[in-house]
Amino acid sequence: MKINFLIGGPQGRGVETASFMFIYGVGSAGYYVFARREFWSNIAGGRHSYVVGSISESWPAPAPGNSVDLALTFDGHAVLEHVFHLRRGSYLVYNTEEDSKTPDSYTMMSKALAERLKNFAKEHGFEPTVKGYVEYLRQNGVEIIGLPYNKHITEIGRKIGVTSPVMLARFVNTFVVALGAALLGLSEEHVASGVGFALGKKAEVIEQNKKVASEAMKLVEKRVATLQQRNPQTKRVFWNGNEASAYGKIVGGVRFVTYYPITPATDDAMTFERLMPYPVSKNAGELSKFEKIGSVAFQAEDELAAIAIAMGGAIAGARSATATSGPGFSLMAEALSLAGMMEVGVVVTLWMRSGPSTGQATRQAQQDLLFSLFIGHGEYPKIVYASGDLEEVFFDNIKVANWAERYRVPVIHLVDKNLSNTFAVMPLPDISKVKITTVRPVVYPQTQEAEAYPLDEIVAPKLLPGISNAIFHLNSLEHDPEGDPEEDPVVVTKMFEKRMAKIRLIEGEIPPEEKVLYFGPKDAEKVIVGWGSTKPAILTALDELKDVGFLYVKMLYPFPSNIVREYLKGRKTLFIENNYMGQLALITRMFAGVEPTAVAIKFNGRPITTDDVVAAYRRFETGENVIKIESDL
Amino acid sequence: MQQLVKRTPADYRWVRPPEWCPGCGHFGVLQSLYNAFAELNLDPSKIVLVSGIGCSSRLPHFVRTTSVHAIHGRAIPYALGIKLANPSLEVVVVGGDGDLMAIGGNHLLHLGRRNVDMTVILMDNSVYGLTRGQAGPTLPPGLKVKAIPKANPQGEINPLLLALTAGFTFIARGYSYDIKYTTKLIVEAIRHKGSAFVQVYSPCVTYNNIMTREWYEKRIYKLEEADPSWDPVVHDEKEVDTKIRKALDKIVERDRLPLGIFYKNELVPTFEERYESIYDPNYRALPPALQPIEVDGKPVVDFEKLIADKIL
Ligand SMILES: Cc1ncc(C[n+]2csc(CCOP(=O)(O)OP(=O)(O)O)c2C)c(N)n1
Ligand code: SF4
Ligand SMILES: [Mg+2]
Repeated sequence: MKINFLIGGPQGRGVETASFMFIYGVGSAGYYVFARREFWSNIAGGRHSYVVGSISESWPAPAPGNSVDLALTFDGHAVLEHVFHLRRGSYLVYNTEEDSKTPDSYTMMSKALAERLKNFAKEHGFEPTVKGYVEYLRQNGVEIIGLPYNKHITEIGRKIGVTSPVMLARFVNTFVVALGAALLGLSEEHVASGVGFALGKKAEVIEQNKKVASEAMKLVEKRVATLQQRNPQTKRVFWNGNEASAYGKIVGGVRFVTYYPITPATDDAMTFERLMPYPVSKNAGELSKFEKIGSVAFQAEDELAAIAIAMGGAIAGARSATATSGPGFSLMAEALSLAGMMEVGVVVTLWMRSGPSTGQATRQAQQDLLFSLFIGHGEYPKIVYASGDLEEVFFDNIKVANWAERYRVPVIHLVDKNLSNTFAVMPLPDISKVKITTVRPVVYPQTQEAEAYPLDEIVAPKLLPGISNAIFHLNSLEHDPEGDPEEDPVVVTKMFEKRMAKIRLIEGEIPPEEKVLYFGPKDAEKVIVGWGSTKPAILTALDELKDVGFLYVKMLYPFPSNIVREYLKGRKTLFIENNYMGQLALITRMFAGVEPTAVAIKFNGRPITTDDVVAAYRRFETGENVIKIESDL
Repeated sequence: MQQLVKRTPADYRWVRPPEWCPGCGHFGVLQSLYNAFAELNLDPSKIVLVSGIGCSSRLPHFVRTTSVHAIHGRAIPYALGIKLANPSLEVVVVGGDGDLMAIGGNHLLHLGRRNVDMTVILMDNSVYGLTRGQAGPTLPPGLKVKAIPKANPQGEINPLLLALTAGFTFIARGYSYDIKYTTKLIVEAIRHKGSAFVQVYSPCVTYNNIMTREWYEKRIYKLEEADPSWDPVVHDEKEVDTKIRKALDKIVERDRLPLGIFYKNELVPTFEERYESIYDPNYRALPPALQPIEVDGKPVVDFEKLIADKIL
């Protein structure tokens, strides 16, 4: 069983609340949900925003495609935005009170879309009204559930004793969700738990909304499906990617997080901040005497400071990270080069979004791979590692913190807007798999000078100010083992080689299965290659595309050249990426010396969907080698 | 045992000697720091000296303490990170006018408003020594120092004025050739609870041929010598405004340049105190750098409890 749904309406007027209510309600019936939020880079203002997702009995839930089974719309604008995301057999729930409106009635609709819609109506010979589009959909096999929302809400209000227009307007969320829930055959009790979850603490508000839901559910008789209560037999969590990242940091021992607010990274750092103080586990050794422990979560004055403060935290001995996105990451370049030179282990959680420049702050892209690999002047070791789904986001946060401490290099953890705004009801990660590998600092019995950069070790013993009783100098200038400035060519050569030897060390120590994963038939002649958050869509598409493999690259630097070369030897490759340049294809050619057969690229700010992967693969099979994907859900 | 040691200035001297032009003002700051550390008898492994880039920022290499010689303009945020992760450290920032007032000016402002318990020493020569004499942000307009092709068309920043408005709770000015006096100011600054800012006039003998030793010595005077009743300390909340106004009056003097402590207010809570009361009651007892994070590789945080409200 698999149901794709969509909830859409004007941004800032409850679409989000409605979506949480819906997802939680479905989740409480025992299902898994995998959803994503699309919104404009405004707070309110009435631009169209939506949540699109899938409901499933198992996990991982299949990734959505380019159309949905059920669209719940708040207004006529939402109907128009999604005319092309409905197909034969889909259900559309909409407000008939908007029937007479046209694309031009909605001032917050993009002019370009309004033009496309009007042209479409003209070509197909119907009036460009909401009713016109709805009729067009009906003729093409879409089931239409049209109701006069406000009339019904007013009536329901009268029944439950609410007449204030302001109050009534707030019932729209619950009303729309209840219609959807009824269509899915959910019971009232599950809708009620969604209401309770989404509307917070006010008992009176919750009671009223439960009544609204109960009345609204009576208005539809049709059923898209019948979601019976089921027992998933496992603990499940409802969270988003930013949250998964913050939980990973806390579990992984990160105790120092800096940020300068930027979408879509802030909620990572702010969740880390909000959850403080953290409960101490029973088996925490000497810490067990504390009930709770804290950390430093620090809002810096800019990203130049955010990375520097995080590095300062690492120098003092805390596991440190900063969360940012492209514009902030650009400001961190000089400091990352310093982290390489001075040998400071710090994590940058890089929530990529669509650039260049301010670009589309709330939209998806994988454009910063090359930048991550080559950020910072000079040559220095670093790690660039990407996560592809929420479980990985959680566990990889722990891994990258381990590596930053172990190798004392900057670690760039690539995540993106798609992951940040993925909302999932999924199995709770099993933390018995977690292993924190910390490095104990040197502690001298008495204060003494110490070498911060001894030549005989690739990674020096850990010296911490105030803890090691050591006097040592860290230096951005090329230096001798004591950290004093040095430009003697022989010493410079040794120091350079010592730093760069970390790359070999990292390559040798990190096991292959943490670098690259392969899915599908071992001997497939054709292989899709991808990285990051395209993973769920590609994996879902693999069910449909027989005889194709999927090489999923997580370690982007040091690039696992040998492994990748081995996997791709003698096969035809299709690289699928959320960028214009085909950046993974470029670095595969550069590092592994493998010539990609084809690239499929999507750079319109929207993630790559399951349907995109299938369509791209079909075009690849016909011999296309630069495949531009333009779908828009 | 270590606490019983009485250290001398020489105990803070690093094996390799300073590499500054003979007569450079920065020598005086260096000696004052040695003296101040000795007077406070600080354990050199518990001091972290942090600097950016410039002739002045080389100073940590001549000192026998732990140090971080970072990048241009960012000394303050590096120092801040170190201090916040381990508040028991004595953290001191040194840097030039280019480093702290130009490329790093923003960080100075924000340190002030935070009032983190650390010290910033500005080694002010009004030029960029290390890049060979360009105008610094404290060079008055119309002056044509040696290396610049025409007179300075840009106005100057008054660092103390900026520090006062930013919220620094200790503000002082010294003169590097008066080592005794500068030592005293640095000692007071380090002792101060809160963000302390000390501007030290530290002439560049190679590139600033206008603001020389003679130039300064014609202008400087000491606040407490000119006015024996001078008391910059805020003893009571009610005095804040008058003390700020008095400090301002002195800070804006141009023809004569007062030295001394302009303002000192320990009644403002430090960032560390605020953080402890708002975020984490154990913050100073158990700051990030001192926390164990695992036992046998297992996390010390109770994940299921932490995430309880997100579990269905
Ligand atoms: C990002 C960056 N820009 C420029 C420089 C070049 N630079 C090195 S030192 C310096 C100015 C130093 O002046 P100041 O801080 O006043 O120190 P002084 O040498 O006068 O003591 C500059 C611009 C640099 N190192 N980094
Ligand atoms: S150039 Fe100026 S600041 Fe630099 S060492 Fe020489 S005198 Fe001092
Ligand atoms: Mg200078």
